[in-house]
Amino acid sequence: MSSAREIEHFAQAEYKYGWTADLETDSAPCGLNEDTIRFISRKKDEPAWLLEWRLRAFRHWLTMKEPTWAKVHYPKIDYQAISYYSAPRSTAGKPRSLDEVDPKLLEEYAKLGIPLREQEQLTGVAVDAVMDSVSVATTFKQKLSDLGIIFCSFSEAVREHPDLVRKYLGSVVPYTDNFFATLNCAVFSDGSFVYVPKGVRCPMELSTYFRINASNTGQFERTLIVADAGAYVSYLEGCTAPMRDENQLHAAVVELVAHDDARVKYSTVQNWYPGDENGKGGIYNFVTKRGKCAGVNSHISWTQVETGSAITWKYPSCILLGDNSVGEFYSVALTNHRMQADTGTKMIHLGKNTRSTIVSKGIAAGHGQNSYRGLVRITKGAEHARNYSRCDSLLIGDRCGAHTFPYIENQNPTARVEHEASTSKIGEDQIYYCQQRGISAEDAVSMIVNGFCREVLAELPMEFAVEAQKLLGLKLEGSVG
Amino acid sequence: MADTETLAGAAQAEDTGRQDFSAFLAARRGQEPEWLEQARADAFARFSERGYPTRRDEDWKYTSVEPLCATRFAAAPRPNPAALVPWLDLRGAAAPLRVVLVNGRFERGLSSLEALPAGLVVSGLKEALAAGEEDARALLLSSRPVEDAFTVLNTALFEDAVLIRVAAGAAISPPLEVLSLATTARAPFASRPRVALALAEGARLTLLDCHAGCRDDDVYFSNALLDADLGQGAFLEHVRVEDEARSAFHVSACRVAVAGSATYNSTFVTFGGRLARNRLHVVLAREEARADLRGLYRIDSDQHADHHTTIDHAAPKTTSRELYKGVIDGKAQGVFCGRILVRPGAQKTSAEQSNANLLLAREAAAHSTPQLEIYADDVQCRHGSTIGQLDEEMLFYIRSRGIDRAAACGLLTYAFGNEVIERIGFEPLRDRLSRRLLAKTGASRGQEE
Amino acid sequence: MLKITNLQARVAGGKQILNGVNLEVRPGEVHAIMGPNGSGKSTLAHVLAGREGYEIIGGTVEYQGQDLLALAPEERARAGVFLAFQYPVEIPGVSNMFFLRTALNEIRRHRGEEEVDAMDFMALVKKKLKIVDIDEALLKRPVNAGFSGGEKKRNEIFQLAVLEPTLAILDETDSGLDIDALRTVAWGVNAMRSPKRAIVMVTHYQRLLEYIVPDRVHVLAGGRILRSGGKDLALHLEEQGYKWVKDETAGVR
Repeated sequence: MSSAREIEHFAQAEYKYGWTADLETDSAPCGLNEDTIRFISRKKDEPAWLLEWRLRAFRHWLTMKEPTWAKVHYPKIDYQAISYYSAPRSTAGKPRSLDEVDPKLLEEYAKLGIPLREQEQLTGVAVDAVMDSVSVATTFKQKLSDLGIIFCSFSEAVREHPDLVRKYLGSVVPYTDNFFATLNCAVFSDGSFVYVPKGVRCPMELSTYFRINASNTGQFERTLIVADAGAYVSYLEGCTAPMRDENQLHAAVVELVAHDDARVKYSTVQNWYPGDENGKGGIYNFVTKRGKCAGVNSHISWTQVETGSAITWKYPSCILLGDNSVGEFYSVALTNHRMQADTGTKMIHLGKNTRSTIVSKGIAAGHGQNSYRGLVRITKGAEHARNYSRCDSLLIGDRCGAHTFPYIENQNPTARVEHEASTSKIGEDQIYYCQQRGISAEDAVSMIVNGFCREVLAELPMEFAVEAQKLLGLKLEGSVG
Repeated sequence: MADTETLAGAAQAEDTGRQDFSAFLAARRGQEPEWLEQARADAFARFSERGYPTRRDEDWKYTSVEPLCATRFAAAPRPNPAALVPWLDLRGAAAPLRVVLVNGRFERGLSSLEALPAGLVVSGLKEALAAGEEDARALLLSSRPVEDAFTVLNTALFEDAVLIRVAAGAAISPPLEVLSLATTARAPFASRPRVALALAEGARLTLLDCHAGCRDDDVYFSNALLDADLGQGAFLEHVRVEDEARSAFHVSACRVAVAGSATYNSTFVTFGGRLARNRLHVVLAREEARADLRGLYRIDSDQHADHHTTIDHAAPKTTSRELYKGVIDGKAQGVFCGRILVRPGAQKTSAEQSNANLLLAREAAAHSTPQLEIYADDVQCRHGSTIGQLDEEMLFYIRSRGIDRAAACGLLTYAFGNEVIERIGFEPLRDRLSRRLLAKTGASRGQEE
Repeated sequence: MLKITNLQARVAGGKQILNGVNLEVRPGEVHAIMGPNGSGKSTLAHVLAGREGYEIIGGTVEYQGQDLLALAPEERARAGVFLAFQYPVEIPGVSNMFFLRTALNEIRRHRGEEEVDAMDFMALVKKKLKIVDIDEALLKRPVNAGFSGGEKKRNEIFQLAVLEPTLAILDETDSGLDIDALRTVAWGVNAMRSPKRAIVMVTHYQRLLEYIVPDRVHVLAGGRILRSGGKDLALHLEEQGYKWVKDETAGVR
């Protein structure tokens, strides 16, 4: 049947954003020891307490073992062969406006379809663009600062708002948390910092486009978002990466804090280079993302569309501490060729009447391996907690794998936990049916996949949803109807 | 650190264990063929290598065997069989065909095997070895996909076994009961009941696999193992009742291989034991093989019941259904881990799995990990899991008809659990378990429909 | 028999739904409570039956001289209050027969009567089955599980017939029934009319009242009884619809 072959064909669509920026970089020599960490800290002119914190993390890291429980396989990473710091040269001059930014850089963003200026004016999105590890441009800053909102690079936050950073850094993901997070604590380069003061609703979506570029450069961003009592913020993280042969390690940490009645919405579209169809190259994405619903009635929502990376190891989680707090996780993960994804969430219910919802959609094609791994834990004190989880898998082709590993732990009889999962495939008969109605096989696959993901895509802000749909299409077929 | 203590304790236990094992082997030398002695030695070596599992092992994440490791178990006593007669009907299924194992040893005298139907052969280890070593070896020691500390320990130390064969095409009726009874002793002891079962092509059997103790404060460790092979088109109805003494430890493994067009149905009911861990591993090895697994754990006070099931869809067009239910009261903990594996090429597989838990008390806890691992695309798989309390809508409806809350709870709890029990075909056992469930839920008033 | 005085209730921690209901029902009477959607009809029925999730803010309900609101749901049932549910609840695994006999015996015990054994109960059931034309096979099935909408409603009336309450409250018993099923159900209810028993029907439509003719009709809107009258009031409603009710309610505010 032609449709079967066509599914196959779409499954082999190539990575469209493969290109390499030709910028000079200022990198630390390869290798990881206390001197590297001191070098990074000195380069960034950090206060002593932060260097001390990094060193504590590093010393702890030396005692840790790389985790092996995830269903992912990759060659051993040589942590000594990675360069832990690089910054584009052009930042040495510290551009104050976009005009001062290296035109080459702006040109590249244009290639990705995110012209900074246009976005600034047309979409109302403030963009804190990260090229490699250092923030090079920030916009809308004035508008935000009028409201008391702090949105800046992590380095700037350390300089300008040390008390806030010191108060919240590591408060959700402690430096001892896990192998990759601990490594990040020791060597993190830069990232974003957001603080929304009491009662303030951030009027625009905050957005950061992450890029991985320089050869052999590990990426260790750190994001910290704090919504004070009654505040609201929606944060978008989007990523594409250039085609590369070497495997690149990415170990970011994201911490969210929501105080009483605050709400944080964090959305991600991830499309890093997944390697070629034989599994050569591609990003290793080992990310720790966690939110703490610290206050009563607080609400943290994670939405992710994971379409890239050779390996995704990522469990955006919520600690539901405050009474009546709400945690949500909406995820689409697509694995094609030799990609492997082990992703899911943890919902830790501590407070009374806490609620969580998990909707996970896994799509496996080619030789891709797609695992959902989630934990729902209801502790003794979590009276009347509720969880609902739904994990669906879609298989395209017979050489991929889709797996579901939910862990449900309930220690409170008043709580109710429900989990459902199912597996289905795109059937030749479905494609044939669409074709008979005049829809191309290509559009049919796209329709079915987008329909399958609808619940999750609906959670994304509009402009992101469009990009996500486009990406899903690109990954499987090349165009979306 | 608790871990270090356990390790030290385990090391010590291992030394004494090694001496015990040497003594065990020496005592049996000359009575058993060399290959069996070798198999025991290999198994013990594998056990020594890996030791008892800890909660760091993914498979034992929710179940600690520390109290088991910390107890010194003596060799199983040999009570006077005549004294046990009254216990048999009380604790067993009261089936007309009955095999009795006492503390892991086959007791022909207590068994009812005089009128075996044609096509059914039941023998103890000695008899089986005498009848044909190669056959016995094939049945007892064929390689199995699951091996853990407890299965190798059973192989190293089992004193006796029951070997059951059903000839091709034989449809055995009535059901065959295998009662593993543990007796009262002065000191804690270990028994290792072992059953090997082979159903030839087209054979049919209902097996009532009962594990029971005598008195609730008896402390013993039953490490049970059952291996079953179902030939082409065979049918096995496996009813397993774990009703061990309340202070007992019960760890079991059932390893079942299902050939083409054969069907394996099981109903596992767990009431007893301080610690119960039941592992059921089913391989659907050929096309059209089918398995339907049901389970009920009804536990209270400080009981801990852990059910680990794996259904391995190793061939196309295989089907599995699974329903496990837990009713957890007091400070008890229920654990369910169900894995469905669909291997590459196992197209047209259909698998459905469900686990539902009722928590009846403040301190009760349930852990559920239903897992799907799928490597083929043309499959229909789903699983679901729920943990919660009784439904308030239902309670209100029942109360609005004049039935008080406690009785309404009992009624709903009974109905919840009975969904598993009511599938048991052998009426006397079904009724007894049903009554047992009722007594536990306190909804017994006038329920005889 | 039933005297509701200035009853005010709200959803626990939420919106107030009943804003001072007054109603008196005497033995032998059939009352119809009509009203538009959201007027509080079902809430009134559930508050009388004792469903959790409602808070009584004010007023009293006196039933046969006792404070009905102080009783647990099962105590109300034993005292003779029966609610035919709008959405009868499915109870998998519990047989209809067993359920009903348990309920009957609880009520009988409360009355100081002897319990009915399985044999006598069967005889009783056979007699009552005819009233609502229910297939005997349904009795062996779990309570309402897998029943069609019509079967569920008939099962409610069957339970009513077996339990013989003093006060029967029928919550939208006509909803979702076709005309034949409606006739059967109405016939069953009429057969249960007696000088000692009162019936309160809650309904949106007049059509049920063609088959079960009420003594009194009340219009409930905005959480209070707006108008009461004889059966003609229902006809008036049929002609005019509920628009005038809404206008009047708006006027009241």
